[in-house]
Amino acid sequence: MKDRVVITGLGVISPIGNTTACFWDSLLTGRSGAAPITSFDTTHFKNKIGCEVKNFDSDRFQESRSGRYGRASQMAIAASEMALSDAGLNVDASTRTDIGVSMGTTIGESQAIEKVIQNWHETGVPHFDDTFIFQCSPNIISTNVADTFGLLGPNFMIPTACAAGNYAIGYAFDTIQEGAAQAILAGGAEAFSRIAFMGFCRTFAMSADVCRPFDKNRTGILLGEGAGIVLLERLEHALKRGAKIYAEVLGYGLTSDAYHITAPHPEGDGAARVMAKALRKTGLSPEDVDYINAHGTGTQHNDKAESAAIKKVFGDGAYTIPVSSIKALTGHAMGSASAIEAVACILSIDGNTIPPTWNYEQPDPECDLDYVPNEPREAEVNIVMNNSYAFGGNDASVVFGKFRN
Amino acid sequence: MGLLSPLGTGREAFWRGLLNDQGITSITLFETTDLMCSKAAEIASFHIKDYLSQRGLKHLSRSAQFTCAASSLALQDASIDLSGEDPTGIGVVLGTAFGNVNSMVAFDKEGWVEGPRFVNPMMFPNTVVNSPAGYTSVFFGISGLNVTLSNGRSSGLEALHYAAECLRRGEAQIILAGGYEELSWLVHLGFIRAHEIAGSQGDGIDMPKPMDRSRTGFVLGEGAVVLIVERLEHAKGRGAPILAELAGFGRAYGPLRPGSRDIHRKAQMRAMGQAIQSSGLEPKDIDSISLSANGSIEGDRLEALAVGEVFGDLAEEIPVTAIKSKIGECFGASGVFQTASAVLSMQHQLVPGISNFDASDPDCPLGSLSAQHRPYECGTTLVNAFEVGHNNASLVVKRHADG
Repeated sequence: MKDRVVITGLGVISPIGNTTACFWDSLLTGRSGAAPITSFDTTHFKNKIGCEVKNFDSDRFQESRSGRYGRASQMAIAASEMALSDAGLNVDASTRTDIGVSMGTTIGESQAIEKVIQNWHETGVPHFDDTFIFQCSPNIISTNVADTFGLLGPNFMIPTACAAGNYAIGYAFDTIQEGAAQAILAGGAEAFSRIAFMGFCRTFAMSADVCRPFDKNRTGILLGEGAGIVLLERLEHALKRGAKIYAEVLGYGLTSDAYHITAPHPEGDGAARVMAKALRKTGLSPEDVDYINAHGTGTQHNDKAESAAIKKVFGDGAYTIPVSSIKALTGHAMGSASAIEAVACILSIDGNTIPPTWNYEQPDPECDLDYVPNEPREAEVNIVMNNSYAFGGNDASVVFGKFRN
Repeated sequence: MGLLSPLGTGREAFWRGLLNDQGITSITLFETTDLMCSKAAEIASFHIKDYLSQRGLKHLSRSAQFTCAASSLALQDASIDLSGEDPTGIGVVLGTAFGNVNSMVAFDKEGWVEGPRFVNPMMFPNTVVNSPAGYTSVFFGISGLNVTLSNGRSSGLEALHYAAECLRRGEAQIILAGGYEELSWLVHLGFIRAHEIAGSQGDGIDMPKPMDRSRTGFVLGEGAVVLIVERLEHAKGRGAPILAELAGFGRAYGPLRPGSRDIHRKAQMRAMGQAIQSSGLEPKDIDSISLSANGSIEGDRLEALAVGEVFGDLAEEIPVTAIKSKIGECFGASGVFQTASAVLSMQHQLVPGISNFDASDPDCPLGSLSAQHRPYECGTTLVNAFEVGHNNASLVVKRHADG
């Protein structure tokens, strides 16, 4: 009999709020994170709008020996601090080897590398100190989180791009069930990346102004950034210390499109298989799902493929399951996206409210499901499926459920 | 096994290379005239067309090309005919530390030089860490689980463990598990500035000398290694040649900072202890150890002490090897190259000597360090992949009756 795994803490740094309360309020009131980009000069770029995290006090997170942590790490640490505090989880000599970190990202501390490259271009020589090399490997993020809180449990960095958060949450779930940890800070972090921005612009995947998931006139993503953390804990451990339990991680599925390095399978083959796999592994039927938090990036390809995939798996039931994408407000926060969305899923269970798909104006006959347009919906939310699909064809669906003892 | 290494391509060339010691040379892949250190274990001559015939290969990063080539070799070596297998039951799990650095640099630099509107969009996918695994799944039509892990030097062993657990849970029938790394000027310079590369502290010794008294650091290596991992029943069922068994795994995190020696040594001991215990064995049952040691002054010492504590008196005699003395430090691929070398070592009943080893260091008290190859009857090998600032991982590999 495998251990049950529950969620006892949440933390989020996002383009629409740097606390879970503010984040949730934004999701329900439609406060968008989109604004003119300030991270770098966009003069020579076609696009100018993105979803950056605002008012984030990064000075609080200074690396003790050599100065600043990279931005992705700072946000990951801030969100982790929130989650640990939210959970009231004590970290001390007797517990630290049982608490781990499992994070996802797309390209790690991209800003640190981008700064060096810019300077290299301007001066002809790359300038960096003896600690720069640590920023070049994405695992510095999970390391920085662990070291800030003195955590010695299993430590993972799973850089599976736009689905990374879900992969990290999934592996944290497995690791706890394997008996290798009692609790794991799981999620993802991504800093606003010039490289990613340039790439999405150049592949015509980016909207000029507004992200409109599932809308007929959708024109692409808005790039985002942030960090999302869910604290996963072994049920027995959580009950023993009287922790507040938000929800349960029921299980997840992973698969690969094996179709194209960037474009999703046009009929959502991988997306359908992974949702079906998640249901199979959790022993649930399609009818059991109360809400699907979609990947819903706002590109023509993804939203159409994802809608087709949902129909494949849920049949006629697809038309009555609420499906929404919060990327309308947060933009696509890349490696942190599915983690930030996991926080939204947990809050939807906790609050029995489904966050809407904002900016939805024109229905698309090829996307004809119930996308909960523009108005939050109160409902009994017991089972939520969190979808995410990435470059490389990495697909993941994680299922969360209301905790029942 | 699919081996694309600085010692050569394929099992036989790799084994010969381990014995003949040809991996580390002066770097030819990039300019090193202004650099203090100019040695690495590179794959000087590589043509993706030798391995794959699909179209669209030219956009792949070096990392992705290596990975696809090693995957192709592995599938052939395991006699797997993909047309006869359910593609959704085949997975890919790979580890890397710096696999996308060159691609990020190239893409971003082009953006500065040409302007963002003129960068080559085909280069964008290479900037994400998981694209080699993605390309592997696309080119081979493999549509089961697909995961990339980035855990520093232990990435490769973590990938093997991830794969083994997935197979145990029935998530896949066959998994291509391994690691890859490509040689990068920026990473090389980064480690020189961190004073970790052999010779970077100005003492003139620029070859890695693991466990040696006069060691000064490591050199980088590149390559890709993919192992075909299956459940025993499945392998037997299809009449596959079985090379070895992944018998046990252990891991323990050691912080980057603050890093007391005590914490790291204990973490390494825990990793080894767990690996041995989870394979149902005791230290006395381990026949040889494939050390993580790469020539790093502090790293090697920590490992020697940890091995000494786990094995006690046995540490005096147990044959050990350190193949990073031949292939350099290949980060994500290291642990898996070591696993492959352990399998070959057990097949040939020979433990390769440690290249460049001349004199032992009193601070690294291991009994059986030698530059000489030693015939030895080994049935189980402990493979270590240790990292400061990440998981220390250990794997027990057992020889299989057929192997």
